[in-house]
Amino acid sequence: MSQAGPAALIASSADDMPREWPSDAARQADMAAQHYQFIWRSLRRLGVGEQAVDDVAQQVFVLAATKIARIAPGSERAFLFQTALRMAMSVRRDYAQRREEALDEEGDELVDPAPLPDARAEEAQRRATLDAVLGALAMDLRTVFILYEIEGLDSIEIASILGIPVGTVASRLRRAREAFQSAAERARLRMQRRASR
Amino acid sequence: MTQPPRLVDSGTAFERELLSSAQSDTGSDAGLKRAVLAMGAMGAGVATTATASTATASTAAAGTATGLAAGASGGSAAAILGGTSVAVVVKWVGVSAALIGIGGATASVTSYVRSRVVTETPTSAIARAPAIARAPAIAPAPPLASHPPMAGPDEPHARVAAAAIPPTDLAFGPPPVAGPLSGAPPLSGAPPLSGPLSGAGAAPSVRASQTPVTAPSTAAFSAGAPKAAASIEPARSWRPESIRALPPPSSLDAEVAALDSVRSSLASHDPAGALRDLDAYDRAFPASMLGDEALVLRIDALVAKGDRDSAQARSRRFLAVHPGSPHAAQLLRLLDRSHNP
Repeated sequence: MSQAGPAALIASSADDMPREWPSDAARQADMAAQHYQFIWRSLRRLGVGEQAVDDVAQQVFVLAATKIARIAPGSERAFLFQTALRMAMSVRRDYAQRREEALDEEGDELVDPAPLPDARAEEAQRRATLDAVLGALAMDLRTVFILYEIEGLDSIEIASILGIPVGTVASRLRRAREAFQSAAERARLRMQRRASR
Repeated sequence: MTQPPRLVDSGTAFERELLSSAQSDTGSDAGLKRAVLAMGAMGAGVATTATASTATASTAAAGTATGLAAGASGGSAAAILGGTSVAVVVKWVGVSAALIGIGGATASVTSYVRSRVVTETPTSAIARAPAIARAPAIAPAPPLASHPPMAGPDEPHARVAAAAIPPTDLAFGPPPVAGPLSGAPPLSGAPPLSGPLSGAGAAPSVRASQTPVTAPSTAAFSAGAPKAAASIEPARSWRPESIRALPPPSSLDAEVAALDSVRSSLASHDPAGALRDLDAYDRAFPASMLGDEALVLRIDALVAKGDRDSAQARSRRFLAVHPGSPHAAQLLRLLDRSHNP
């Protein structure tokens, strides 16, 4: 990915001075309250599994908390998202497996929890399809797509979060939509075939 | 620049359906709460002495930063700095953490308590309180936020109000927050804090990020703020005085006290008593913040009582709905115990 990393949002000086403490604590609380859901959903759509997402979201915020004094005011969301993006890429590959192993060690009585109610199952199924379709997008396209189509941000906000030019956002978004639409169509046809069997 | 129409409006029915499904996928309150705890955004308390009332309001507690700072009184852990005119502010309790190499997958969590001493006579050193005041089972302790920032002159003793984090949560060592990478649910030893916190995550947030959600530095976390993240002014310019304007904290301290009593019953091998206490708890706190914790205690009590079926049924129901709950591991252990008593 070409955008600047979270480090770019970190101020580079005046870091070691003692700070008025309430502002840090308050900023942390604000940051979590304002952005937790955004980060949580973003992580999910970036491919972090349901079992892992709470933990990864927590890691994102904890990391941000350690750097709070150096995150420029107003850049919190960008910092969090970029952190989430990197974390999603690094953990989603192996997390699911580890988690399963950990659960297996604890006991296996719960591998068959009660089935979800129908409505929730359908919703979960749709989300699983959505995530599968998103999985067909390259990560840079997927990122822009999620921010625009799911989170409802505009191109300028996205450009600012990702640290890329607005024109790049627009072109990625165009390609992302094409990729999404074609993957969605394939998914739809697959489901149709399965249903008609 | 012009924004292309969004697929959620302009796409095919199937595309719209897929995209809409993402909107109802939200993080839980418990997750948010754990994140806040782990961040150390947890507020702490205030301590004053009789003469400290003249100190500036700068000693106001950050306490209610999460609404969880019920006023644990009694000067338990934090520094009590003798008879000098000292106002102690136990600084926020931090579980600063992380150091997760973003690219790598290692997590290490450190916990620390930063303390700060504001003194009128700059004699006292920083109280680096080693223990976050373990809030004893406080019955309805005077809620911090409804207290004036400083105790009045009639307050005879130094009071240290530390964040009334339920005791178990104070074990902020690496294990609780060890996080996903160790495979352990973070804060799994931290039952009391994962109850439904506010309405924040409950309602499907539609395009949440478009709504200018302002920062509920305090109230979003209090039980009495079901609107959660939606309506509070950002606390950018945090001023100590603003502590006065904070909403009163929840009945969390009372809940904690009630559940502590359940724990004592369990500890003294009185599961029936624990279950009675839990029934009372359910009646007293219909919209409890620590409901998950209460459920885990109930399951514990049921196992202790030998009511294995009921314990298992409840566990399974809970886990079906909250598979990623920090209580999952504990429930698994309890169930295991119920299988192999």
